[in-house]
Amino acid sequence: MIKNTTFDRISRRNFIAGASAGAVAVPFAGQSFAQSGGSVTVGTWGGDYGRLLRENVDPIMADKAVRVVQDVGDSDTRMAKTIAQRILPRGAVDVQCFDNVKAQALRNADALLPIDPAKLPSWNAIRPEARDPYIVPHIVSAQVIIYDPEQVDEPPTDLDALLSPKYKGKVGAIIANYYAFLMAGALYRGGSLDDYEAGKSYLKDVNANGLRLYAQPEAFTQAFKSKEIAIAVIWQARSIMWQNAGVRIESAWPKSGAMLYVSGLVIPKNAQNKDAAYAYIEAALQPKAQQGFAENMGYMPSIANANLPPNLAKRLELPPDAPKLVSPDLDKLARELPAMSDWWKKNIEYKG
Amino acid sequence: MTLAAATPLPSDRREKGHLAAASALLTPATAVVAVMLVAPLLLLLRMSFNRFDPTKLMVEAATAENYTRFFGDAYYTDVMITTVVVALSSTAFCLLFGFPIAYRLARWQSRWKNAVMLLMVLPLFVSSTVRSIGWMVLFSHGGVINLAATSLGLGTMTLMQTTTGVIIGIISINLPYMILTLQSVVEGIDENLEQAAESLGAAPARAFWRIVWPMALPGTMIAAVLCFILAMNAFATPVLIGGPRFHMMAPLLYWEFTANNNWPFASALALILMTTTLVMTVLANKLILGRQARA
Repeated sequence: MIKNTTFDRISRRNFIAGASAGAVAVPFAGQSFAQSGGSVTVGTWGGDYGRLLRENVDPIMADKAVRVVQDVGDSDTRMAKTIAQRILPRGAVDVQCFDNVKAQALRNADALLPIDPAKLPSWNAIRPEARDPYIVPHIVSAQVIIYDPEQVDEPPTDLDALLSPKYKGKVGAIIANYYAFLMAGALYRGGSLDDYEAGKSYLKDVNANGLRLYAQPEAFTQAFKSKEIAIAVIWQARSIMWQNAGVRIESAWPKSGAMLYVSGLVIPKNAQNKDAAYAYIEAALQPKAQQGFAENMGYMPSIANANLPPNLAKRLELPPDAPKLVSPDLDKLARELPAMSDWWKKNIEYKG
Repeated sequence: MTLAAATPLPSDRREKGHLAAASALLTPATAVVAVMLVAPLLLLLRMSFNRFDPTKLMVEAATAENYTRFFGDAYYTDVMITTVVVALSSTAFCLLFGFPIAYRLARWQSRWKNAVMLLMVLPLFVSSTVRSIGWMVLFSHGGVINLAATSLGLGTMTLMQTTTGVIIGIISINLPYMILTLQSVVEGIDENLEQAAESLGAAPARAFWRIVWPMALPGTMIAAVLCFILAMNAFATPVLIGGPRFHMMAPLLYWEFTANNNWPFASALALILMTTTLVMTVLANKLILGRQARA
């Protein structure tokens, strides 16, 4: 079982420094797959993520004469397909993009190939705390409190702000984020991401404070713009994207700590083009590709040598009083997720 | 046995030949229906008795736990009740709004009739999702209806994320089906019968209730069943207008299938929804048309 990884007091320099200091890039050359040509099929989300993969990773693959085909879909659907296809000798997809919770569920289902670090020249550039035997981390973000400074007088310091009667009916959430929200509550009220009962009790209290739910991120940002909501918990990357889009929001780090979101790349164990899959993952770890995601989506790079421009690095860096960044027990979470999803649907979403 | 009985007549042979030809023509369609409809339904039924496992998705089993879970949990039965209430209400309103329009159209003798018929069909060219988004613009916080109500001093009128909003959305989608079906039903009723009733002293309303309505009832049932089935299976409208807190059966089973990957339970939900719709349709037919036959 994977234990909690606590990114104890990772200083802002520690976390981003490698990225901004211009550490020596690991050369991406001399691999046998580089000359192999052919094609690689990548399962990914559509929207910005898929577009940025096309813009930042595909050109590197094109230089290696490897054609990239995207299989676009929601992660739940792609996960079901991966599990359903795992008994086939030849799978339809070579690389899948998932968050680390879904990756853990696929690992539990014996659907993934263990990552061979010897086949990834950039393996050593990956932040040690984010390395995993089955998923190569691609982008990272932490959960923060976001608020409308015109409606919230004092910057919030922790998740108690969402329970304040001052913001009754003004707290928002995106439903797809339910488990991360629950875990933020668990960290705040129970001191651990794995204390689900504490998280559930927190969510019930927020719900009683007039929690507003949104099915899509677009509706959520619109609610901030129209002053329907004033405060929420969301990934920092999202807040940066929305700030870039002109939405008037600020972000604050919760005193109780922040859960880390890690999205990465996995190889199904029956991938047909495993060499091309490794080549694709290596391309996604290149500083240029990582810079593209940091600039456009506000995600922190997963490698220490991303060489971000100084202004971008400053924007993504952690505050001086660095918050506690924590990862959940992925195995426990992956097993509990369906039950947690049911609980959310019945107790938080449903008004009866 | 006589010779005449033993030897088929030429007309019998012709009839048998026609039957054989008809059977041959029916075979491809029957095979397609069997493969594309019956086989998946049987598969769905089988899957509904399997067991869900988060790591394996579906484990072969023969358990009724998915059905007992549905009927034993008030949440799921509440969602079914909401679905039935919304479907019945929207169908009743469709009938209420649709019949007068269909009747007027059927009896209308004008060169504009085809143009108006086209207008009735026009909404069907736009997907239900797009139409629901249109309602969202009208219903939303700061939307047209809300602004109009506020400026008229009626206070805030919130229709987004309400049952009323969902019913309005479903009516707007199903009404053309009701009107088009009823219009052809009414056109099939000879207008002379109404005139005869009136010439014998019946008031127009009495002529309608005693002549048109009973004759239109079977067709009206078909139109109502069509709208009811569409409403029971509504997906885009409850999701878009109802919002995350409004739960109906079709979005619920989609969520079980895609988000939870719980295919056995989603299969059970699909079969329960289908069976409920079918049973209610058959019962309504038996009750209403049976009563009419007895009368």
